[in-house]
Amino acid sequence: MAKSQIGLLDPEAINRAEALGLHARYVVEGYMAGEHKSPFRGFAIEFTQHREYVPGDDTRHLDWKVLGRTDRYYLKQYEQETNYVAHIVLDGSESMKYGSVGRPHGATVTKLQYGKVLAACLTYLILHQRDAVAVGVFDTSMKNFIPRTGNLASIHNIMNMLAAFEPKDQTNIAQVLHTLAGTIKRKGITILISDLFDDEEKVLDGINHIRFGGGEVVVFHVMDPYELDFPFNGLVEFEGLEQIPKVMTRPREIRKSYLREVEAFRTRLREGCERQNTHYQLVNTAQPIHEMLSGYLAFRLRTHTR
Amino acid sequence: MFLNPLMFWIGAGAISVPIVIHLLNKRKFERVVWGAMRFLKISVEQNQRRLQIEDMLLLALRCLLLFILGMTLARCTVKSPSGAGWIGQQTVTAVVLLDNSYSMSATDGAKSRFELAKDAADQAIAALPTGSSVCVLFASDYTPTGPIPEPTFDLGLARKTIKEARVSDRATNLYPSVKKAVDTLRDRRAGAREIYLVTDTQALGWRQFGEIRKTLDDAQKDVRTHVVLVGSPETQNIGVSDLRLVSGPAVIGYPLHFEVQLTNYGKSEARDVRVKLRVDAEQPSDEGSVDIIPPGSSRSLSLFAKFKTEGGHSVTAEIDHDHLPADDSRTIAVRALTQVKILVVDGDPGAGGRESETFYLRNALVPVPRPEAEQYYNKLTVITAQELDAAKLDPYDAVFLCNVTDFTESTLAAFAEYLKKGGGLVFFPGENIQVRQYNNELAKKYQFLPATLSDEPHGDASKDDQFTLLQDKNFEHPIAALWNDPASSGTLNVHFYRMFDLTPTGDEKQGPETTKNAEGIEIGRPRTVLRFAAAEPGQIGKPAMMERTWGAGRVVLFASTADNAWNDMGARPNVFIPLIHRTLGSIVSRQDAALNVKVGERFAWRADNRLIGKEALIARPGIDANDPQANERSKIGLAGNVPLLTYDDTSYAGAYQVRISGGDDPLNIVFAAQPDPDESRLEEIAPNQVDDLSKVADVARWQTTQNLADLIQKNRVGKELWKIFAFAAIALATAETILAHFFSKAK
Repeated sequence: MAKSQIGLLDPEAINRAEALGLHARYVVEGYMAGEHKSPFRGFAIEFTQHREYVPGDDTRHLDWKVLGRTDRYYLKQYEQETNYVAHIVLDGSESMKYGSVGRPHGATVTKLQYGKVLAACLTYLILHQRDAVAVGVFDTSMKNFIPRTGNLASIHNIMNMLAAFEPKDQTNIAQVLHTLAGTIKRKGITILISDLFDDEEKVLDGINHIRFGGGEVVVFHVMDPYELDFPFNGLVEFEGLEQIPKVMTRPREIRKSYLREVEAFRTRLREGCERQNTHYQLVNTAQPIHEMLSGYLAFRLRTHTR
Repeated sequence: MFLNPLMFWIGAGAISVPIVIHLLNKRKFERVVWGAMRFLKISVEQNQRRLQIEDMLLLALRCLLLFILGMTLARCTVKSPSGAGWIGQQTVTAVVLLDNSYSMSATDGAKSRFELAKDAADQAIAALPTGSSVCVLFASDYTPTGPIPEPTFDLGLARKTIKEARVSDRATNLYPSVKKAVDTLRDRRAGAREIYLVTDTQALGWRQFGEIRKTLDDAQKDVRTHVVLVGSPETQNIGVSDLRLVSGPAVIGYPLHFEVQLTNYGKSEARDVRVKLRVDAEQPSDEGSVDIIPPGSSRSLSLFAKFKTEGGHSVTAEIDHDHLPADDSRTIAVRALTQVKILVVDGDPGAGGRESETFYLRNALVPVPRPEAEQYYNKLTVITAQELDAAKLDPYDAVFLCNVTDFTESTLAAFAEYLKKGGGLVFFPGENIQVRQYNNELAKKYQFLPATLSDEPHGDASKDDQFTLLQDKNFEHPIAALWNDPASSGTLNVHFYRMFDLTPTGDEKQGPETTKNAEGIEIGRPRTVLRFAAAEPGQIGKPAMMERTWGAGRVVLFASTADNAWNDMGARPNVFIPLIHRTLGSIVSRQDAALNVKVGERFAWRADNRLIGKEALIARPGIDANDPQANERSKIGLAGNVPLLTYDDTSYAGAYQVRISGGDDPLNIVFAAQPDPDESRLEEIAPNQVDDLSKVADVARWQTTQNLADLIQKNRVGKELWKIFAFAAIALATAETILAHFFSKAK
């Protein structure tokens, strides 16, 4: 592994997350037998019911004990377990480049870097429990995409791709989500890592589209602590990252108004997500990734709908 | 109007400081590359306008604060023309200088100048704004000390003090008072400062005009001076300018010759001026009149009086009252004696009789037939030079030393002790004297003699046709002033054949009146009594007779002999008797000199040792000496080693009665204060001086019909506003702090 990629895997995070695992909350449609509930009945370990034999059925699944007692032909049916495919999509727009690095009580990395580590950890976690994963980085459209793979060895490619990505464009999450919804063939999990600086209605629309296909969506809303708390002092000129003109102001005096706006934005997103049974997780980049991730996975385990 | 305009401009300039800081701050900012612009933009759009308004508001507040601070320090004042606006009037610290010299007693018939001045001063104080303080000083010829030397806020007290003020008999010199007033105000910083100088128009008060003007000019920036001139010009004034005893010792029972000098200070001739002379408070003992006194000149008049009892008496000469009553009478104190004890030391008694050195002197001192000599007041004791060492000098009023060869050291020491106590020494030289000792010991070492003698006398006594005469006019010394009037006293027709040249030991005209020797004894300037006639007309002759004061005593030195060996003085009683008697009189009256002081001078009387610690009751002129309540008390204390009775408040002319009651027999002393005759000159201050004065002070001629308050109110600088501005500055600073804090709160 190249040096740049090593940083993307947080050993502490992986260590803790491995024990918890990322389990599918809903029925997923994998193509391999795994530990997740499948929509299909099959012939596996867990018995569910009997059904009458119809010509053409494999005689291997005949319940001979029933035949011997009642002289009827019944087949034994078992619940099938499967794996899922997780689509991890990382927002690589310019606004993700912000990070209050070096400021007091600031973050240690940019939002994008944090997102990359989060994506890498999740990828490793999913592959490690033998589920499949597809990873993409987008801005206005999906820029880099590594298609579905269940092979742990392919994490190498994924991390190379993540490490090499440099943002240079604005964001259009909704468009990307709509496109993604079209490409997902089976029910799985879509993990969206973004600061969501886009029209939140359209974003929710895109999430809805994926949910409509039956898949689960997890939103990791990545925010810098300075974006959340706005603790600037003095006279500051803010230079927009996505071609928005400069603004000169005294941030201390408009902080309340700013916080009100951010809170309103987050509330709309969270409520929109909850309406669609989507997990909305706010990610403060000042928080160590292992804490955040294990916290979320534990929460997820509690709300497991197995 | 600003009392400190510089600070106003600094304050005005300081307005730019917050603006510059504001602009500089705008250039100093942090640059942040920011992701969440959408929220920021919304917030900024919501708040930008408010922020700008707040910024401008704070900036305006800060500018205003600095401006107000500048105004505070500039001591901005406003005039309130109505006298009392909503801010009231500025308080004033005022010094009222009230001229109480005796020219202020001049009256126009209805009111004296002093009463006018009191009215004017009263109005000036009444016109002071509430909260003002005032001090009242009486201005005359000394540095004033009262009656209210420090500013008081009790204006009622000040007005009462002025109402009760009495005019004194002092002369005027306004400079010390003006200086004192300016000094008093110098350290008073609060409010306006004003001087009210209420005086008459007498030129004398302004004799130090240059200094007064300079003092006022220097103080003009801080102190406003109002010169209020009262009274109308007076053109007529006759005063008794001098009164003295001229006939020798004041012995009781003998008619005493007093000389009264009258001066016409007016601008027109005075005719038939009547003078009365009275002893103590009795009926006039003598009267006389002067026919004509031309304007500006003086006439002398001889009047006679007798004393009936021994001790202190006052002698008063008075004329009819004119518009300035203070100088219409003059009082002196005279100590009446029963006898005068004289010691005559004969250095060359010869065979006695006419051959004696002192024959003519003895006859001159007792100019009566032998049977009457017992009753005569001059009691002579004649001794030889050899007996001088053993003689006690103290009982004698005067010692005549005629042709005494030399003196022992102990005699010289006795002379010093004797003179210190008020004795008199009269030296007549002769052939026997040791000139060297006279010059080295008596003149130089002891400084007794007013002159040194030439090494050798000159002239030939045997040649009757070679002689020197005495001067015949321009007698300056009081002893010889008698001969200024040849009609009454005859001429000094004395022939001098042989004499010493007298060289004065010091300058007669210049230098201090007295100098102190190593022992602290005051020694007077040498003064010439008589001169020889000048060799050439227009020149001044050599001294023939000189004198000087020494301690409390007096020393007289003649240039020639007492007998007629070198001159024919003894043979001319019309010259010799008055000369000797007047000399004796000047020696005896030297002891009385302390009893006559100028008005305002300290009275200091040397008391007997046994009176130390005793209390003296002093009654001022016009006060009943028998009323102990009205009398002032003074204790006899030690000054140096000398028991001294002192009294300072001699502001009034006339006789002061002193009673020292301690001991077995109460002691009565009379002393008198004489006013300065210069104050009688009522010449007006020159118009150009008034104009000059107007440049440094407000000069107003005040009449009773005018309201002084109006005159002054117009000129008073208005209320100082610094308190209001300081309050505003504090309020602004508070507002700025609160607003800045409020604005910088997150919104």
